[in-house]
Parts: sequence; structure tokens; C-alpha cells
Amino acid sequence: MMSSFWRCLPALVVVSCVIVPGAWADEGWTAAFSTEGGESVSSAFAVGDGRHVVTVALSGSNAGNGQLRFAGRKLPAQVFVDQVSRVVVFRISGPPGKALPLGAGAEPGTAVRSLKGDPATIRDRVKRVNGRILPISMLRVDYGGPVLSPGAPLVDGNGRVMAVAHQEVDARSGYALPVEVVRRVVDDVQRGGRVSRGWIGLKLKPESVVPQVTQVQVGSPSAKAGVRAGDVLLEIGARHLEDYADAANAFYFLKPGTPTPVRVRRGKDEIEVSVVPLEQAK
Amino acid sequence: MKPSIEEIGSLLALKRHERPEEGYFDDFLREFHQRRRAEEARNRGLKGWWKDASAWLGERLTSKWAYGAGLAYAAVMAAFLLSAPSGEQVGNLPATNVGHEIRSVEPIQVEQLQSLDLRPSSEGSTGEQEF
Repeated sequence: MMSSFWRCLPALVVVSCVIVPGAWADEGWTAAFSTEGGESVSSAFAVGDGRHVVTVALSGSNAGNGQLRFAGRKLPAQVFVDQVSRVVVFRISGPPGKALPLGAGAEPGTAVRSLKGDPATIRDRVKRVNGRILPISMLRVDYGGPVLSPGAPLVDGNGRVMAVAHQEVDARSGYALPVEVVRRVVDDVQRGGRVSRGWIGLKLKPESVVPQVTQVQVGSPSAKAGVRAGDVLLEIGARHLEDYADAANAFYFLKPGTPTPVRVRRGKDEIEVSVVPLEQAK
Repeated sequence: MKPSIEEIGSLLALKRHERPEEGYFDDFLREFHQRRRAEEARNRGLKGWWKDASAWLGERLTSKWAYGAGLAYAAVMAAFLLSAPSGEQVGNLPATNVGHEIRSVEPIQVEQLQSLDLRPSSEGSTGEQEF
């Protein structure tokens, strides 16, 4: 009996090495947030150097007091919260976890999957929910399997993260954050140790048909760059704008101190200026 | 008094040279066409229309069911038209006052969420937004 066990041991070791890391990558990291009714648990995944773990804290939960867990064990970690996207980044000091690479971004129609292998499809970009304009455009995802919990990554065929599950819509679909939102927050945390927002001093009206500037703050980065009231925003950085929601989404990605090309239409002319955002006061 | 042989001979000689007046044959042709058109117009009434329609349908519809379906459709339409309330009936209904109020239209306010709080109860901000 004992001799047969020792004969099987190498095979057991090989099987464990193949199966266990996959399970850990999917179910190893979780984050718990307190709510009025108790606790909400989100999935999480490590990125970058493996010491930054990303998750999403849904509204109604206290994102700032999130608690990171690995395989059920609590881990001490610093917590960084982006209040706009509700992305939470934990910075751990212990041994790094296995990091997932971040992809370039998913367009509608892209096939993705969960870490367990359940298929899903990016249906479209969502700019409004319940008639209200979102500060960041989200993705609507149709799931072939169960709807993923908030914070769970959706990966492409090469295992790169393309989106992160956010709120469930129904039994077969949910909203997800584009991966560029996660990259924006993680870059901030890794470089500056905090989440920052860019400010350029423009005012726009959400009910406008086109993203037209209604006011430019005196002395603001936009004023210094030569943007005027009445200009219609065409592009901010690499993002093409068609309406106000596109503009709000593009403003989210402004980084303080990083020159950003802004193309506007003034009358019949198209003008490109470079705007250097300042850090938005809290 | 019987005419004599000479008188009869003279009369025949006179008739032999008799000709109709100028334009007699033109008028005859015109009158002939007028009468023909009048006859056609009489036949073009309801009877003529029915005759033409029957001939047209006869060329296309060979099934007796098609006639049956047509008659059924006509019967249903006739019943519908006859059952509709007459203007007199509508006019006798008591008049009801309809309350109304004219309000000025408020400009549409579009909300923008400041965070991804997708709960139905969440509130966004309206008016000019600063970035």
C-alpha cells in the first residue's frame, strides 16, 4: 500500500502544479467591503509587479476600509480608491502574487472569457445608465456562463485583461470597466502612491448636442492653451468625441502634468492646442 | 284621274335625274355615329359596369370560392358600415367638460453621475459641469 503511494506521488505533484495555480488565480484573491447590511465580497487580481491587487467596490460599500484576502486569509495592505470608477487597488508588502498582463482594450464584439474559461462577449459601449450620463464609458458584457462578480477580470485568448466586471445587469449580462480605466488607476498608484484627477478649467453642459465649451476658467490650463468658449471639442488625446458623454469620458483620463493634445472646431476652422492639466483639488 | 302613259314616262324621266341635296351623305354618316355613341353610353351604366366586371373576373378567377370570398368580404364590410353609430346618435351624447392646464415647458435637465454609482436611487448633478 505504502509503496504504491510513493509510486503515485510524482504524478500527484505534477497534477497539483497544473491545477492549483489556475484555481488561485481565479478564486485566490478576494476583497471584502463593509456595507450597511453586512459585507460585500468582490473578486480581485494582481497586476504589474504582483504587489498591486485590483478589485471593484460597488456603490453602497465602504471602499476605503476594504480588506484583502488570499485563499480566505486576510492580508495586510495599503488601500487606494478611485472614487469615480470605484476601482480599489491594494498594495501588499509580502511576496508578490502572479500578475495578469493588461491588454490594449476591448471593442464591441470582442470575445473574452473568465479565468475559469466561461465565454463572454463585449456587446457595446455604454455612456448612459437610467438616462444619466456616466463619468466613464463602460462596457456591456453578455456572459455565456454565470455573471462574474465585481472585480473579476475578463481576459482575451492570450490571458490579457481586457475588462473588469462591475455591476450585474441581469442573469446573463453585466457592466464592465474597460481595462484602460484600471491601467489609469494602477499607473497613478504605482508612480505617485495615490489616485489623481486632471483639471483643465473647461465647462460644458450635459444637455448640449455637441461637446461645446460654455466657459473657460481664467488662468486655467485651457485658457493658457488658447481654448475659447464656443469651441467644439473634437479630440482629447487619442479619443475622438461625438457628444458630451465622450468628453466626460476623455476628461477622466487626463493626467496632471502630462501635455495632452486637444483639437477643437472654431467656426469653420479646426485648431489643435496642447493642454497641461493641473491636479484637481479635492 | 289616271295618268296617261306619256305622263308616267315623263315622271320616270324626271326621277332618273333626281339627286339628294348637297351634304346629305355627310350628315347621314355623322348621325349614324351619334346614335351609336348614345347606345353605348346607355349600356355603360350600372348594368354595363357589372357586365364588364364579370367578364374581367371571369378571365382571372375560375374558382367559385373566389366569388364566395368576395361576397363574404362585401357582406362583412356592409355589416360594419351599417353598425357604425350615426351622426345623430353621437350628437345626442351629453357633453363633458375636459379640464386642462397650460404649463410652460421646462428645459430638459440631463444628469451626470460623478461616480459609477449605478443604483436607481443615485443622483447625478445637472447644469454646467467643470472639468
